[in-house]
Amino acid sequence: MRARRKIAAVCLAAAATVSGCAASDLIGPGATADYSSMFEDMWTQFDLHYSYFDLRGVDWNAIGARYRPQAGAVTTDVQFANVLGSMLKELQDLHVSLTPTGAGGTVRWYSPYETSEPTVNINAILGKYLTSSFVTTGGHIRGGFVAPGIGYVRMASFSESGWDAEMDDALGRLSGATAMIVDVRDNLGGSKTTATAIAGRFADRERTFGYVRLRNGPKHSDFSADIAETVKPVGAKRFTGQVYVLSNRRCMSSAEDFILAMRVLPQTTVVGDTTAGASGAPLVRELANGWTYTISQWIAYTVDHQTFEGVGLIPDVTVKLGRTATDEVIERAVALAQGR
Amino acid sequence: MRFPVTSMTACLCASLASVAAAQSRPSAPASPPFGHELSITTGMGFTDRIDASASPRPYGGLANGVGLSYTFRPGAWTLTTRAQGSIASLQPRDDFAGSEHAYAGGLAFDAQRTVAQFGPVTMRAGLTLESWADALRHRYGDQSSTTSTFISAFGTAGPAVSLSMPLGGGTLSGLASIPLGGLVYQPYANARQEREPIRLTTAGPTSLRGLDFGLRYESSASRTFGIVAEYRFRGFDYTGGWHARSITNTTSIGIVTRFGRKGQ
Repeated sequence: MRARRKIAAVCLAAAATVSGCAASDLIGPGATADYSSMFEDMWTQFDLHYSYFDLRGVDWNAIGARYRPQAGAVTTDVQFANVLGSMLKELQDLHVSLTPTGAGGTVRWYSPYETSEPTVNINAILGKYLTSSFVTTGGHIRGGFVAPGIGYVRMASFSESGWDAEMDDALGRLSGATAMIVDVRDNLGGSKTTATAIAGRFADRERTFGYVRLRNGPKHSDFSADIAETVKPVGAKRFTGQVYVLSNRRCMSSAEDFILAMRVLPQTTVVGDTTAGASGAPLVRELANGWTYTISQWIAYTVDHQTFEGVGLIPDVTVKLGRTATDEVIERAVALAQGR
Repeated sequence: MRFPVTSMTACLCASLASVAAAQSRPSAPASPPFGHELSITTGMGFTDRIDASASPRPYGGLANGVGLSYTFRPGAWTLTTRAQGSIASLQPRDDFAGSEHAYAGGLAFDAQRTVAQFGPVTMRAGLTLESWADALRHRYGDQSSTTSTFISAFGTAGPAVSLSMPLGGGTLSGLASIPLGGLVYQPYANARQEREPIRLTTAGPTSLRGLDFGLRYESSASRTFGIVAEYRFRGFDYTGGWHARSITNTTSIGIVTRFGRKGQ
């Protein structure tokens, strides 16, 4: 009996140990990290996930055929990054990027507007137009009064966290305002959830502000049905007076979601320039060598079922920002708020 | 990155073996006299996985789990329901950045009938139905350390066989099951605020392969309470959608309580 117990115990330990030894070997080595294999992996992931092939009229097979030999000929990471980067730039999509590790920074296509249009000079605004100013504790929101009863808040991105408390703070400081200017020019986006929640501070009731269709199959035309995007009242402090949202060509991604959500509110007027038209909601992927890249994975639509990818959202009142010390956009918004 | 699977598993198994060796009572019958059995276990193990929905790179690491098991023995049948959950913290097995956390929960049902007796060894065979869901939080090595969550769920059915024998006053049993087919929920991309309707696909032996193998020792088979030591090896490979492959070793310890007379 004792011998049998010992045999069983030894069998138990041996089986467990053998299985344990095998675990990390059985799982296999993962994807191959040679340049040709990684090129195929990235090309395939775009083929399976990218949402704007048909809308933009992109022949992905032809692009792959053109760059595949180049990828097969590279011998260094820098050369490989250049080939992949060049291929991705063909999509002319602000949400498509490649981040190589150790071979330079993020590679992506830059819209001509990103370099040709003047940027917003927030310090000039603070000094010239605001009679009083503040910055919320997280540094996400700057604001003040631009005229009696006209508040101003600027949000340069919708990234990071802590927005709820900062919006409470900002709206509390501007509680005497009867009109509000919300400046999201040069806002490159961030979290769509954050952008929509901030728009909810100005909402009177739940409203649909747009739709998205998700790429959901291997064919370039495989998409989900329309999924409604809504904005609804949120937050301890809200503002439901007249709102003037300032936009420009460098408003993209979640900032465009914010504008979409704001412009369905009846008290909102969008002033400034057309937005960037970058609506793809990127999916992050990684290569076998640890490099990451992003793929637009949906098509966004306005509430009227219009796409704006590569086109942008046209403001209600178009005002171009010049290259002088004057901010024509903010001046026009103040004039509108004052009924001029 | 490799983990010291061999040495740590061996240590855990030595503990498991010592539980068996410590029993001084004579052998109990292969089939315990109780009709119902409830056990709770907690354990740790190592898991290695590749989930192509998130990454083509393999990740591995330590997993902690808890399990609850109820067994009912009406006559020649042994019916077992198991609920289990685990949390795994995973690191890439290469030298590049990234990390994963895997949260899994599942429910399994075994129905087995005694089919043969070889001396003290009882052989049972039957069916295992198993379902589990897996939420994989994958942190990429990009500049903003983007985190995406990938959710999948599987429901499988397949044959199971077990052998049990009295040992040191308790019962040593081994169980093996393989999934032959099932239903799979594997979204096309990461979990998003914008949700699509759930789409299930079927999977057969060509796209779904696996093995669940366990060794379990329960002490004091004729008493109301006992100690449980368990080792499980689980291998899984799904190629019907995004390729998902995992190997998990778990060693657990816990308590078992028995009640009711057999056949009641």
